[in-house]
Amino acid sequence: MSSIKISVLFFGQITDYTLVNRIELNDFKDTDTVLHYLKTMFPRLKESPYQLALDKEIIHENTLLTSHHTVALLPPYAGG
Amino acid sequence: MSSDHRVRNIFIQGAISSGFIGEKIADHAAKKNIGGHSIFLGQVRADLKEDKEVTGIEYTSYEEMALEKMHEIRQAIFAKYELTCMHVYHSLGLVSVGEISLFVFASSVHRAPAIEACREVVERIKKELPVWGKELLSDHSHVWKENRN
Repeated sequence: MSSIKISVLFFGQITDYTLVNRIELNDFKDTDTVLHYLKTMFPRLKESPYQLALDKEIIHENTLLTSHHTVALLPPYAGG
Repeated sequence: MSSDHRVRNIFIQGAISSGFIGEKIADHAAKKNIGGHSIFLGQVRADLKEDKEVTGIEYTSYEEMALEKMHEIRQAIFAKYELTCMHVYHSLGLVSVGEISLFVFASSVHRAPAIEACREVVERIKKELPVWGKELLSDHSHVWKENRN
């Protein structure tokens, strides 16, 4: 199996505890697996509201990943 | 055709100056079919948070996603309202209390479409653009801005 390389982006209040804006991950097959891993790494994510975007599109269900996908964790928007 | 298919940049580093706003108004003098402009300016407020005063907001965005979403909003607004033109600018980085962080400028032949479109665009920007604001407090701590309806 070839390696799946993805990027994960963090924004807004989530960066208060991830302390970085971006991480690269290898070999995560779907978004649920990524989220499970992120919640272990950053337990405060369990209490934070956020939406998930895959390549800039909001997703609501577990989605299979392929290389070069970008997953973004978006807390509630506060523009203006 | 008053709309186009380019994804435009809306972001400006720091506050939006009154000089910039004035220039944008002046730029429209040559468009002789415009009868009304509607302008919304969002200004950073000195709210009290946890008994400390907000001194400024540091804005960040998922820029690529925000620009694509803004393009979508723009297309929808031009389809819905008879506008001559529309311009949107949003700050990134630090904007101090009293300074402008959002500038929406809609123009039409008669006033109604400009006024209605301007209001709708402001509401959609606040709800749909991936932008965040870190409110910096007088003791150098921070809280995250939450938008009200």
